[in-house]
Amino acid sequence: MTEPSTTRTARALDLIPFLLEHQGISVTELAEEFGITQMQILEDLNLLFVCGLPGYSPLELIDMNFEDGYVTVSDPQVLDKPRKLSKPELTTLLVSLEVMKSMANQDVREELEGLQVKLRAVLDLKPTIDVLGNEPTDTKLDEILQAIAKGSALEINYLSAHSDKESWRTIIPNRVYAEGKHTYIQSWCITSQGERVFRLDRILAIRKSDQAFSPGIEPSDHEPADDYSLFVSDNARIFIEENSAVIAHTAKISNGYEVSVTAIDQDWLVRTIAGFGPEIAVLNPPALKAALSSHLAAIRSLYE
Amino acid sequence: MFRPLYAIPMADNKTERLINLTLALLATKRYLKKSEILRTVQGYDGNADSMDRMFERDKDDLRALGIEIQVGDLDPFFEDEPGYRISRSSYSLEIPNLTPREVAYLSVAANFWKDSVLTPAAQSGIRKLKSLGIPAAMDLASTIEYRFENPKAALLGITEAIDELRQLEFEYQGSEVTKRKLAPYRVLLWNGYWYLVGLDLVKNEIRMFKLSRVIGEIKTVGKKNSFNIPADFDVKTVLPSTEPDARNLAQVSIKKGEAITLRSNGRRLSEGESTDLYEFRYDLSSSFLRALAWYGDSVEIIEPVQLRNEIIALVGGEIR
Repeated sequence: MTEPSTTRTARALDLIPFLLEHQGISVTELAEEFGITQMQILEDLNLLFVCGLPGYSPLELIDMNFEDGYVTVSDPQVLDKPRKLSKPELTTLLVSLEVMKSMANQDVREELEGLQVKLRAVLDLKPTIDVLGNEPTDTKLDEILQAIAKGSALEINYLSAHSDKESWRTIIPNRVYAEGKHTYIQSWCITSQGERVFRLDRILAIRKSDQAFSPGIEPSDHEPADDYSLFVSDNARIFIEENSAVIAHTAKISNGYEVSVTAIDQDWLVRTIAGFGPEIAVLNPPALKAALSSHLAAIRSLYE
Repeated sequence: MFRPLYAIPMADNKTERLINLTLALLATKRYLKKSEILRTVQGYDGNADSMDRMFERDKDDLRALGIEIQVGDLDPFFEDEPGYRISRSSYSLEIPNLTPREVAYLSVAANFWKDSVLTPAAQSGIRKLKSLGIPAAMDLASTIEYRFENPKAALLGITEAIDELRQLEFEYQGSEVTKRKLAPYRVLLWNGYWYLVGLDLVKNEIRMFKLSRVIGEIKTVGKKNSFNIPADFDVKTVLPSTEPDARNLAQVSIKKGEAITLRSNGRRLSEGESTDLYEFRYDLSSSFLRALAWYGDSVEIIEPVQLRNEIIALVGGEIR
């Protein structure tokens, strides 16, 4: 067994109190819960089965039953309470709550803050991880979450990221996620009859829609467009970091990187790389190169 | 009692002894003498010296797990032999008045860290909370997902160094690769990316490092308590400033009906026939210029001349 005995001891000590609150749990489920194999769980249970208090008579041993694949503990000896949270555990839970707080509305924020106070009382721990950023929730997000809960449609006035134009669309939101600086709403867009992702801060207004969900056409598989290939200098590394979601592959070369960007809107890519000037160059395809040149030429013409 | 017939137990005397030692020390109300422990706790054998060494190592191992072993040597009956025990209150997790709703929040929170270095700690933490016997509220649906940059494996080591006030050494990819020595103050998760903030001991300045740009290992060096973190340290004061406090001002003319997103970040100074004049505050000209270049010929920099020249150079034009 390569597992360190401290790791195994810690898990064994945590198993008994967990079992006391989950009497009759199956070995399968228990293994899943502890993130180990069923064989490991059985080995742990067998080990605990021979542990106990000095004297080690049947009355002094931990007593349990697991021969039918379901585990019950009849005598935990002194292991009836879970162990105190460790510093990494507490740190991780506190930072998770902090992340949740950064996206929550006022009421939930207060609840989460109260919870953090309770957790901090468990251990004396310096603040080590701070969480900043994400957008403060506004009423738009609340409306969207309500629509998701009810499965209802919304009309949104959306400012397109590709064309800098606004338009009204009817959508059925189904998922919200926060990534980087922004919050995104994955939806079925009734107007364009397809799956679309909308950025919360580009939704200018929301009104309720009485349209029912009727996808009509299934989301079509888009023609896989060609990948774009770019040279990104060391100084423009931030482009790679900020757009990791669309970057398929990065290879380090002498003074920068060769980056392939997955098929996305060409106009978006042109606008995004334009401001890097010579730090980012298009390797392929020629159409992208041409689009970038004309975007740059348009800016140049302003100043001529 | 019966012995299960399958999964033949693997010999793991060390783990068995650590569990038995924990149980014995938890069960006792009085301090147990070492000689008593070695005689009564199952698993100690060999000659006196080797049992002694075994016991010392076991104590260290349990302490490394965060189990506090109390040492009592005040009892006159013990003469010079110290006694040991684990107090129930220091061993067990007690969170007074934890509500089902809060347990539900914690379950949601613990699931953020899919397959990252924080997953094991989040999962073992939530298992302990689930062992408190408070049912999680079922009506708390989580509808928001959070996606982050996966934190580096070093993350928890860094938080430990901060907690113990120990210095860190690492190589960092800036405009070139440099060796850094740091008194770490905070880890920061900012807009989904991980940073390390602390006092750069070479430059003697507070600096911020992107964790993904650290090359190789982050080494913890030197003794504990080797520096102080100012009690009023606020990580917000070291962030590159954002619009409200940005020091630089620019005037930009924007074509009618265009660059709608950009407009919301600035202040309108005047309205013209075909363009409007806006004022923006910015910090770094490079990122401000990138934002402006996005809008192509919808926006033109009017002032300052320096910034105007920078964008002309950026797009490959001639400065007049």
